[in-house]
Amino acid sequence: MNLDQLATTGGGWLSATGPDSDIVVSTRIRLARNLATFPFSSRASAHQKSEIEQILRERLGQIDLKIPLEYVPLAGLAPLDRQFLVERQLVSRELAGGEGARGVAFAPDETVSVMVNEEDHLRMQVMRSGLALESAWEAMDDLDNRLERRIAYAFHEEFGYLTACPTNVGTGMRASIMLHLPALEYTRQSEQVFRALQKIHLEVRGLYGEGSRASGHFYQISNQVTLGKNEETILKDIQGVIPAVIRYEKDAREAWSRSDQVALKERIRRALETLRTATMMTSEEAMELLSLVRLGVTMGFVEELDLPVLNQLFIHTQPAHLQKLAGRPLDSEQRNAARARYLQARLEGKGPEATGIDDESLA
Amino acid sequence: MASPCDNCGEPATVHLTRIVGKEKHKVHLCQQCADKQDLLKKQVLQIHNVLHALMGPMPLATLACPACRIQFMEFRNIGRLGCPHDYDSLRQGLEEIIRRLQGSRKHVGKRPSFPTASGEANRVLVTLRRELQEAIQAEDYAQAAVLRDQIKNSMQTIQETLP
Repeated sequence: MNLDQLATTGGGWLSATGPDSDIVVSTRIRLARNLATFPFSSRASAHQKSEIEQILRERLGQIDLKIPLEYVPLAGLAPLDRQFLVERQLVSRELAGGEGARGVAFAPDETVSVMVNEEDHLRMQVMRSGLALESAWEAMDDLDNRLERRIAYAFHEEFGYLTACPTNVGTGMRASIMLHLPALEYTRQSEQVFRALQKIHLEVRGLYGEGSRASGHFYQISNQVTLGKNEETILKDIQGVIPAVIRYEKDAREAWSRSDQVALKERIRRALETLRTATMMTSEEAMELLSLVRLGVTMGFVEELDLPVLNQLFIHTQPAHLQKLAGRPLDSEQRNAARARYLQARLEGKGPEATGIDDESLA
Repeated sequence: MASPCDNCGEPATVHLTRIVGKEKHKVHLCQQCADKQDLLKKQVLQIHNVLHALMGPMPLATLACPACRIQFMEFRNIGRLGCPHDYDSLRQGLEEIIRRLQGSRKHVGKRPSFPTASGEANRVLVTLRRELQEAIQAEDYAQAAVLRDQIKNSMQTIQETLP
């Protein structure tokens, strides 16, 4: 698989075509599974990890999917490519930073990815645009069913699917909804909403999962509990609260717009202006400004841009993406210049391949 | 003999005596209600500390998995188990952790749609694989060859359970 080509494309789950995709960016469901006859990845020897990779790679190649998965071994991959896969949400930071035989099989449209030898032997995920738990689960369940016919999973009558960490045991399922909540954040109501979610055992994390800050005002809401409830109930619990979170965000937007529309519009206009004219821009600043512009687009204040492009920009302005697009390594100052130039070009309506950040003048 | 939980009537597992002034008052709670009142966490911490001081390490310190050889305390430190069999071999220590993390100890979700190999067969294989690694490390290649054959045969049996 050519990762360089991926750098100019979207990732199906960024398409902003799913339900409620003005606020809900994406839905992700992942399952953790392990081979019954091997030690868990962290305790497996180098040789055993190779054996596990070989078995799983082979089985993954045998299953008959509409869009076949392509396997990318991570052991031989350059650090920049590994970082790229993390930014793309195809692999976790843990897998990218790990060692030994490990890899990821994914569909070219990036709606399915299967990590091998992460914390668990198998970490499979299905991604969808917008709020689409049902369709994501259908695809996840189907993939799992096809694999279980070829792999003897570690399963326990009492504890269910066995995982390296007891936080995942049982269903092994984590369902996660990524939301864009700028108004709740700016009006300082997000903490309150998150505390209420935590009380009902839902977890709230940033864009890139565990320990990551909520940059760009993106939040992932996911289930904490994996044992004692079946998959349908867990999904229903999440499905049940998302409309409320969406309503809070919409209310916060309306209230903000009612009380201070002139100032809000001015803020969004300036964010867009800065993105269009800056010659240097850090990743944090880009995320913050893009978040405001995204808010502007969904509220109808910015008409010349659409959501799929904006969703893409959050990902494409990350460090590894910029370097892929430039075709060479860039230090942080060069990246800030490349980022500014890239944003300028994209906001003028140019495609990702025609942004001119691959010329030598950045050096 | 199990007294019911004062709160919800489920069998109580936490029994406390509360002394306020001169009045003694018995409290019986099930694990869930005790958790809600945050009683048990404080209690466990104290008991653990007191026991630790009085008698040295708790018996959990000697708990280990015969298949992958991970020790319970090692798991406590790194937060990752060694092999699937740990859920049985370290059960004594794990149960409480699972209950605290998950609020439940019983899987009710999806399950493989056909009978899988027994836990025992899997345990034997994890053990054989560890012994193979040890034999290779000790450069005992004769023993390694024997173990490889055993693994191959056992795996064939397990593969046959798949449809």
